[in-house]
Amino acid sequence: MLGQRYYIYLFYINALVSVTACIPQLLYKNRYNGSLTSLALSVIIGAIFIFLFQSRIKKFPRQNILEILDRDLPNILIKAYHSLSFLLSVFAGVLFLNSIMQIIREFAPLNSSMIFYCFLLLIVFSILIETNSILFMLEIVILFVTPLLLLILLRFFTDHLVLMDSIKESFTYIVHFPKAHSVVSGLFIFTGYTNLLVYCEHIVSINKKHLLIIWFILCCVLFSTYFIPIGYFGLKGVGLENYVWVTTIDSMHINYFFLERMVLVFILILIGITLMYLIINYHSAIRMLQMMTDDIGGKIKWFGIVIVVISALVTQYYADEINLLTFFIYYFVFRFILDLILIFLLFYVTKKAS
Amino acid sequence: MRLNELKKNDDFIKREVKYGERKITLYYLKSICDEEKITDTIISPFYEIFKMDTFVDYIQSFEEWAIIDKEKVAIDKIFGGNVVISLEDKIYAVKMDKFESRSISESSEESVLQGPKDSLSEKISTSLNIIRNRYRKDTLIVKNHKLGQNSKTNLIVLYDNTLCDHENLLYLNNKLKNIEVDLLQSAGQLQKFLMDRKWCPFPLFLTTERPDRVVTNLSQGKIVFLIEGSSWALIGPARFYDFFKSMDDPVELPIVGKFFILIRYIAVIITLFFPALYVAVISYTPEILKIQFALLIAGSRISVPFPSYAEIIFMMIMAEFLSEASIRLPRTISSSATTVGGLILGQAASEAGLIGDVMIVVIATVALSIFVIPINSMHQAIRVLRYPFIILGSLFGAIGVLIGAFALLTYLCNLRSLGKPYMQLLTNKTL
Repeated sequence: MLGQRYYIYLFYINALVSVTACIPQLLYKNRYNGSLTSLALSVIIGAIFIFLFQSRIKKFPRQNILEILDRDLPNILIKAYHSLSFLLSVFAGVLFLNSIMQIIREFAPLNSSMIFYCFLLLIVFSILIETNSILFMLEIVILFVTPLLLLILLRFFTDHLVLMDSIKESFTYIVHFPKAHSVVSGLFIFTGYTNLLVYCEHIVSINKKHLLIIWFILCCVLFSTYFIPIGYFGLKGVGLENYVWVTTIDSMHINYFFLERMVLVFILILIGITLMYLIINYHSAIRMLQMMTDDIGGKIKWFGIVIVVISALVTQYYADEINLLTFFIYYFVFRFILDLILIFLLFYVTKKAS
Repeated sequence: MRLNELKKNDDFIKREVKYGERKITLYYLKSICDEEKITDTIISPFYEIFKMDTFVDYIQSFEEWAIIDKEKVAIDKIFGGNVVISLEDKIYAVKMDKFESRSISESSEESVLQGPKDSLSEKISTSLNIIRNRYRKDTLIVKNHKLGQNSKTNLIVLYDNTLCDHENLLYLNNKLKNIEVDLLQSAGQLQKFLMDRKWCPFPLFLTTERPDRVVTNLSQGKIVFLIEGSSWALIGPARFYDFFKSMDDPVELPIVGKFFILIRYIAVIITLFFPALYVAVISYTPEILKIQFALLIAGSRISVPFPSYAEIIFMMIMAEFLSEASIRLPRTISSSATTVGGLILGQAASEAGLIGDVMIVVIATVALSIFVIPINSMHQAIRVLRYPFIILGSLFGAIGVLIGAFALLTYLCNLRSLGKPYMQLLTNKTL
């Protein structure tokens, strides 16, 4: 069994990947009419979700989601749930892969299709390893990434070019009703646990104090991803950017070392985070498939990998026509519905068990 | 092989000792037996003890003795450093071996500033003596094994009974039984047989010649192998981070010790990624550098007729030649080889316009930083892995280096040394 800190890492990476998931762009769409209240609402709902989930899952230590659900529910319902989460994971993987490839095409003058094949190769190579190994990997990736992110945060607070007035201005639009899309996209940061279902059988169950730390970290990430770009571009300008965070970093002057523009470093961080998330996500998808068919270690994982590779290749072919923002909204909505179903199922199962 | 064939050896001795009616015959190899000891402890007592029964009792009081019933066993015993004694009706073998080796010398491969300086010995009993004297716990267990069809090398497995993982012990015992090898001469060779992955570049066991490292690891519940004829011990299971600990670290004050450990990790990251990132940045994205720095690099490369990756691989291979030459050559020649190599690499290549000046600095940094890793086997693994990164960097730029780093990380995290994770950061269960 692994320590509780791995829970924090799983939530944390899920929050960091929100930049690739275009969550700031989605939130800025309603920046004049209710994105702040939506954010506040998603923080509250997120906290409720996290604590509800913990109160249910701690009753089944060292069990995976199949073993938990398998008690009293009809088989067809479990199968349906698992196939839905498998499909959603593959869908999410495709979206994140495309999102990161669009950023690479835009900002790095390289042979992007070869890089895409390398990514795929790396992902296939990585998702076949043991679940524990993926968690060790996650810890090391976070160890490398976090200091650089803190440096960016520090630069923001010490930068005299930041328009503090725009940030204050954004608060003047607080008296609006929250918008459903913004709430759901903000909520994605808190729903990291749906990816962690596969991993929770390897980690000791988490206590309330750690959950509070997690919730605090997630709020910090959410608010800094929302407010930092506003500080650089102003409330109007921030809606005009397609890749708002990459251009934000490019606006920062970090000329302390021999680098002048941090944009490449930031893109590398972003790719690193996204690749790690993709590996976690696809690994859990493959494990879902294995659990669903009771074929652990058999040939079914190759079927899963074929689906992963083909879906990535096909969408890559139509990459220019995909409007990522709309698809990400769909994904967040489906994710939210599936999380609701899961919470309901968990409640039902614990009630039966007690 | 029969006893007659044994007689062909010039160092084979057959010695008949008579005293009146009584007679014994001794057979042994003069080269591996202690003749002085034989005279003192077998021949002199033979003249002093008058009854044959008492002499037999005396023989049986030796530490290692056996009754021989087959010729083959007798021959094995003779080659194992025993004296075979033929009495009137029975044949005995008594251990009288002599093992020539160096006296305990200073550890030369893993030097430290303040820690203890002695190293393990080629003689297994000396090594065991050093270790036992540093770890006087009653739970320290010593087990003997023999390996190698021809060499019949003595092997000692050491572990702390209360601390070590008994599953690992069982696994290792099975593994040792199934090893088929003609000659076993070193710890590194044994490591290859114990590793499950054939093509793994990383050492999964620690090799050390320092008794203090052996003892530290014993107290952490690890299993230690001592091999006769090799002054290196093999320690497992090992973690990636064990290879970056020097035995100076516990001696230093906490902050100083931690600082030096940090320096080693920085050195590894620089060695692995710096040349690759240099190629990637100056070939694909020079605009991220400070303008003065970018111009400096461009200026220094103005006369260079190759692309940067060719330049760096050429120079790094030259640096490899240099370090290989300085290891293998006799001491007297190696200093002149390094001088010539250093001059040619450093001065002449840049003056001739073949290599940029900045590149020389890069190469020097990389060449220096690789030597910081305290354990040689890890040092070599990292040295080899620099080249794939340079190739990735020249093909796909900085993103290629990132992909390479991820692949390496995946591989390392999936490695297990005796079932224990190789790359896990902290092994604390509750945190």
